Amino acid sequence: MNNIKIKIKDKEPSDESILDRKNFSSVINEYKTIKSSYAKVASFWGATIGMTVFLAFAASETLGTKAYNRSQPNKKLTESAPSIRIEPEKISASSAIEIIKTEDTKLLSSFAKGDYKRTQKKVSKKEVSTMEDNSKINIEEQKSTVEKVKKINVKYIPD
Amino acid sequence: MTSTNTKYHQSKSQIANEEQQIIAAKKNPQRFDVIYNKYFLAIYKYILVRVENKSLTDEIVSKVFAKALYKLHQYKFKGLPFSSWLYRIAYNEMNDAFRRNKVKRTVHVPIEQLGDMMCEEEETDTQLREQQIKMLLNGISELNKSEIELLELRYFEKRPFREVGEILEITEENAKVKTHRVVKKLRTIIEKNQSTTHE
Repeated sequence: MNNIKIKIKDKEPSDESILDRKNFSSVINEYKTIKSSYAKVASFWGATIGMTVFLAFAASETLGTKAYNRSQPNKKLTESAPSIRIEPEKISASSAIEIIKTEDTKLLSSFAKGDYKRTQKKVSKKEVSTMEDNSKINIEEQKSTVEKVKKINVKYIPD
Repeated sequence: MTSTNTKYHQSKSQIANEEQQIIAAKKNPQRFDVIYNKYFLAIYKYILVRVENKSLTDEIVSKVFAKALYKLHQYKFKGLPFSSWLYRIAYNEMNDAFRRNKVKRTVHVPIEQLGDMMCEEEETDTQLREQQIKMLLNGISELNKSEIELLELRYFEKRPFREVGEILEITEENAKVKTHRVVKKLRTIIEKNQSTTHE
């Protein structure tokens, strides 16, 4: 059943009695109320949406980084280049200077050839392994040099 | 044949003049008083006959004009009088008020308008006519809310289909089709009621 009363139309109220109820200031007041309430609602939703977007972005950033790191457990974020370890007690000052000089010359010559950038850009697995082998060879050479220096030192330094 | 009420019609120059008033009100809300004074009576009556409560009508009318003023920037001129837009807001506000206050909506049926809905082929005596009106009213009460609204706007208030469509937020063609269906449904209801009475 619909909520409707059906009546035969009777006498309409007079226009004067209706016009007495005219009040434009009440309309303006109502308009101001609506405007302020809509503004409050808009600012509330603006702030809520802004905060949600920010939180979603922040969460995706954190979770994304964590997930990336989790997916590549063996990968180190910063990989240092293989370095030549020289143990100070096993080497004399003069031989150490010699080693540094040779390393510098190698570097300078590669810079001069313009190989430096190219080698940095295109480093294949093969090259890395060769570099590691070379460094091993260098270490072996250094060790033998140290041994020689030690022997020489033994010969020429009197007790 | 249903003739339309001339009070809902405006000439082209009147509508153009009204457009200027709306533009002025968009710039300054205080200028909306011209529109308010022009349509206050019509909107008040439209709501009062349906609500039958003066204080609730006051409240709804002031909300209707305030909302119209607030949404004035959204109003698009379609060559129709501004009142159509106001009636649409009034219709929505009124339905909101009925829901909020749990008030029954009233439909005032003008006796003289009922003749338009009946097929008067020959002179009928008063007793038969009264019986016909009674059956018609019973038939109307069996229609749903939106169907009654259509009958009310078209037959009792004699609004043009274009305005009916504008108020109910449907196209003019749709308003025509829907009204035709409502009348057909009403006839079926009345015939069914007549056959059950005769049995």
